Amino acid sequence: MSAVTAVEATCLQVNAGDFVLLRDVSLRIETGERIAVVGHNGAGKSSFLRALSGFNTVHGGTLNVLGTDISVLRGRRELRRLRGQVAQVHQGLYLVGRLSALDNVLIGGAARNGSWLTWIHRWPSHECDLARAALARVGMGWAAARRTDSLSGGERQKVAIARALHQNAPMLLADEPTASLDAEAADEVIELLMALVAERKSTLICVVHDLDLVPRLADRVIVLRRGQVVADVKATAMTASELRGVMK
Amino acid sequence: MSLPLGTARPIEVHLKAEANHRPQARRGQPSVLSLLLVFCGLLVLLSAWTLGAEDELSLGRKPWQNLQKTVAELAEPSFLRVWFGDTNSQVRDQDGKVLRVDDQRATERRYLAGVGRALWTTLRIATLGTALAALIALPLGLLAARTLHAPRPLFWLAKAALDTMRSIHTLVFGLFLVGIVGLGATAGILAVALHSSGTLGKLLAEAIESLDAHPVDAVRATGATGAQVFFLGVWPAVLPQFVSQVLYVWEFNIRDSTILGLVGAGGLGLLLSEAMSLFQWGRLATLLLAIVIMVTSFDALSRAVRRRLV
Repeated sequence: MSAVTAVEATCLQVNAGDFVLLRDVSLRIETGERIAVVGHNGAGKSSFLRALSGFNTVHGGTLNVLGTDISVLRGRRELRRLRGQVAQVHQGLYLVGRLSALDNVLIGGAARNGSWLTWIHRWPSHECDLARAALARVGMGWAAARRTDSLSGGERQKVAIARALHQNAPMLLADEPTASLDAEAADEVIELLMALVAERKSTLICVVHDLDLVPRLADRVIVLRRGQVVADVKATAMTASELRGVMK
Repeated sequence: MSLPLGTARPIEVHLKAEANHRPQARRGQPSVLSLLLVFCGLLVLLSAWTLGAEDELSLGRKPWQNLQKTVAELAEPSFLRVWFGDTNSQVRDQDGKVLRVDDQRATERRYLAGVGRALWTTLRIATLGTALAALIALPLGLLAARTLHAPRPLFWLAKAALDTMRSIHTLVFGLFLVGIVGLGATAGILAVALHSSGTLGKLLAEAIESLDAHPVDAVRATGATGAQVFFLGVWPAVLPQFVSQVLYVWEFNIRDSTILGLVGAGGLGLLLSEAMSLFQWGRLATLLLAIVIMVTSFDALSRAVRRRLV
């Protein structure tokens, strides 16, 4: 399994109705790489991430994620297996608000626990231990029983990271993970993400809005403009203002 | 029962969408709202004019005197006799011979106890009917929620069933059911259940459709099965709304079941029709008062509970 290509896209095209979201995207991401995806609103950053986890249909070209060809993937079971391998942290703190932090983290283990008992929030005890450990790892152990809609933005994002951690996937997608956080909370979240990626040696693909964060988050940056890749370079190769120039 | 929750929403959403997407293109043209207002105005005028032409808008010959008479008749509710009634009321024939002696206080006490029992029956009919309705509405509402993507035929079937049940009034269901299961509370319970499961199912489907899709997608993104997505992502978010809606419909049903007895489906309605056909206006006043007190107190109770839910 060593040095497997994490993502390989050739001439990838993704549409939404008549509108082309991604056009002619060809790239290769190796396991363990840390990628920042940047671009203006509507450049196709989120569409790219959604395509990687099978939420956007591939309309042209091929897209291979962790050895699975998504462009020909049709069965739901296959899709679920792939999604189990791809953990996600979204912008906007998408937790189930009425559930406790622990219950939200446990959802990360859904792909490997298909039992109907999970429907009534009964998880195997080793899963509960793992989930508690994940919460403790992000420093949110104290909040296990708290409803997530009673937590602050930064705290919720840490719970979301714990959920991704609990999912224990070789690939982590993050869509502007610091978008709705203040500077202090954003710092904490980034440090946490980087520590976890280093620990698990997982592939990180992160949509970044704040270009100053790029060198901290990634070792390679992909710039999208109107659905096309316009630059694909080392993160240290371009400054934030140079990146801005390419995005225009 | 009509749908005060559902009716206002589509218009509002529509207007918002208009405002967001093409404010410029619409300038100079009449807005949706003004068109709607003109349409409603025309509809009102049309209704009034045609009904007037058919001579259906008359108030009768002596509306004012009739109103005064009715008010006077209802102004002496019979329960007052429990305290102020004649304990030795003599009923005589035309020659003045005493036919029987009646203790009005005791009679009205007995009647009042009967009203209490009927209220209790009405309450139980509404409660059991609503509980049954919730059970029927649950699967139908899930099938009829667009965002859950039930198989097409099942979706349409559930939608048709909900629409049919909602459009037939409880009283009409009651008429049929009395013929099927006989007189009494069972018919009432089933009538309430059948009508309000239509309402509840629609409310549930709408609640699910209006859920924030992002947390649900986030659950789906972990590789969860369809059932897990529902139970871990959808159900926890929609449950408090569903409970609140059940309480709301229960409140409605308490009101609705007070007249179910009119068709023989048990409860207070039987006493209502009895008092009306015997021209016992005092007793009718007592019954109406009892209904008002019960309905308002349960409305307040349910509202207080619902406010604490969401």
